[in-house]
Amino acid sequence: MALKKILHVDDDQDIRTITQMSLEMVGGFELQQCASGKEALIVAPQFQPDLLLLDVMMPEMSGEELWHKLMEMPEFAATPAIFMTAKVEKSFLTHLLVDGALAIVEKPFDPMELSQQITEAWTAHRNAA
Amino acid sequence: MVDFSYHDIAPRLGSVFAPARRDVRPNGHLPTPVNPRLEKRLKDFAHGGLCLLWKRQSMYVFVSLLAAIYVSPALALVSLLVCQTAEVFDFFVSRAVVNWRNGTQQEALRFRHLLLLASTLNASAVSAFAIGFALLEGPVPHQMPLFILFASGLFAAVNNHQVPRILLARLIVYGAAFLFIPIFDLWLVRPPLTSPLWLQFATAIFVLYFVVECAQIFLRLYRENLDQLDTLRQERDRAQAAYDVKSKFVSTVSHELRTPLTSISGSLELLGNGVFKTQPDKAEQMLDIARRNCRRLGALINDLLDLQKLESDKADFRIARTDMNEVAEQAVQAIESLALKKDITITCDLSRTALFAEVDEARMGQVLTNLLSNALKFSHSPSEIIVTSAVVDEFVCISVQDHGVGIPDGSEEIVFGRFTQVDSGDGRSQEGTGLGLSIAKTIVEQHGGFISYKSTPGAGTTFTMGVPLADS
Repeated sequence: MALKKILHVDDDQDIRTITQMSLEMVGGFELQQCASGKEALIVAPQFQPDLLLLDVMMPEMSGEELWHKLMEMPEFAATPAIFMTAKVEKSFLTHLLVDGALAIVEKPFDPMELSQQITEAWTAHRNAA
Repeated sequence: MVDFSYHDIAPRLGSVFAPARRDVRPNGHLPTPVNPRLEKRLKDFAHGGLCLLWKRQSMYVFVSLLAAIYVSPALALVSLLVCQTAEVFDFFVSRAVVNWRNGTQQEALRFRHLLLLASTLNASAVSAFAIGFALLEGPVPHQMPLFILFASGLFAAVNNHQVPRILLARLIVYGAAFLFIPIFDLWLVRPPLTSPLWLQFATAIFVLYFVVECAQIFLRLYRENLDQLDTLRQERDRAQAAYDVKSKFVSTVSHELRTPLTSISGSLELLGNGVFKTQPDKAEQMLDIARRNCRRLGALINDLLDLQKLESDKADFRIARTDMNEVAEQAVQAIESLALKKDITITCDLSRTALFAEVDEARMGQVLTNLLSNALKFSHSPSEIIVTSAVVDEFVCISVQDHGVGIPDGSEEIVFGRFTQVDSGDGRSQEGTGLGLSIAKTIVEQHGGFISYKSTPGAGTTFTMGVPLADS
């Protein structure tokens, strides 16, 4: 099954714009974007994304918290998540992977490569399942 | 002197004397946590006692042997048995104390009582033995029993000083026996003053005094040692806390710097790869993003360096007698055009007389500019900002009042915190570095002043900065 719908959550507007250009124009994905976890919790059930692309450091609700909240909903219990972060600590990143995140994209990221990175992670996850 | 951390002791088998933890006592008192110093004293004492167990045993056996051979096997045997009973009791209590964790004050006091009981019993056994020995010897110079008591007293001074009460109890018991022996002889014989029995009595008093002196010295040394350990522990905790704060700051800073950088490199990558060859307006948008984030990154770096400079005390303020009214007017002038663009009028209602303060003029300007630009950001057009100045309680206070969205209750930490901004309500939190007020606060506080605010959500906010009034 091909990856079509991605839900992207990031509190920085410019990063959202760049990511939109990258995923829609370069990757050809169907994209919905939210500025906060609160917004995402409302949009996700309506949009039904195949994949979550979440910024980690956000005020009020972090990407990790949002992910766990979404996993509580049955329709998203198995939705894979990829995290984007400028945060440096390796230990923190490995714990996300251990919890089941598909991949971590480090900021600054290359918008030309982002779609491919996501597709590769998605395919690997599908093959492993 | 014991030198160990009681946390290192491996737990042993459960002990008979460990009271149930953290239960409410039958009389209804809630348990209070143990005084850490008392806990350390008890544990040092108990541990010391356990370590010296075999030394004590060998001494008992040796002395009992001597007593059996030279005076009376019966006395030796009885004394040994009583001593061993006391030893066994002491052993179990000491072990319980050593394994005791997360205790309450009530448990600590109970342990102290038990240890006191054990020590008193032990001292009494030794004293009874010595007295018995002396009585059996008759009214002669008593070398053996007095030496035993002296040695025991010294041993107690060296090894029991951790818990002063127990040391005192032992010394009282030994001291009483130590004096009793020569006094009993004197009472029995009633010799003239020239008799060696009087010399013995005088010597006993002198030696007793010496033992007490020793005990006091050891007590004092131990207490000083504990004080030093406490100081060291506090220093270490303080250093650790400072290090943690710095670590977190470095991590946050690196994240904050990478965020605008992501937008800059991202937009330029897209442009450079010709993604927008046929869409010039999107290309224009990318360039805007790159430009805007370059500015943002620059401002952030400047602010960070400024903050660093201020905090490292290398701020080198140029302090001079300055009229704060003039500083306020200049700051308002500088921001006037920006305010006009937003259709916001700034009104100055400054005090008639000049308000002098010993400050760095440029830095004060920086603070007021920050307050004014915040007021602008939080006001919707059309609106009014009012700047007032006055002397309140020996402080020159300048207030900036806006009629904007206001700040929600309890947001103090976000307002003055680093990289945190209160939402201005129209999605423009991209402006600003999140450091402005933090820097302003640092500057003002280093001048001996303060910054505070009062806000009514929906109605507006008034920020007030104050610096000490200069002497006229």
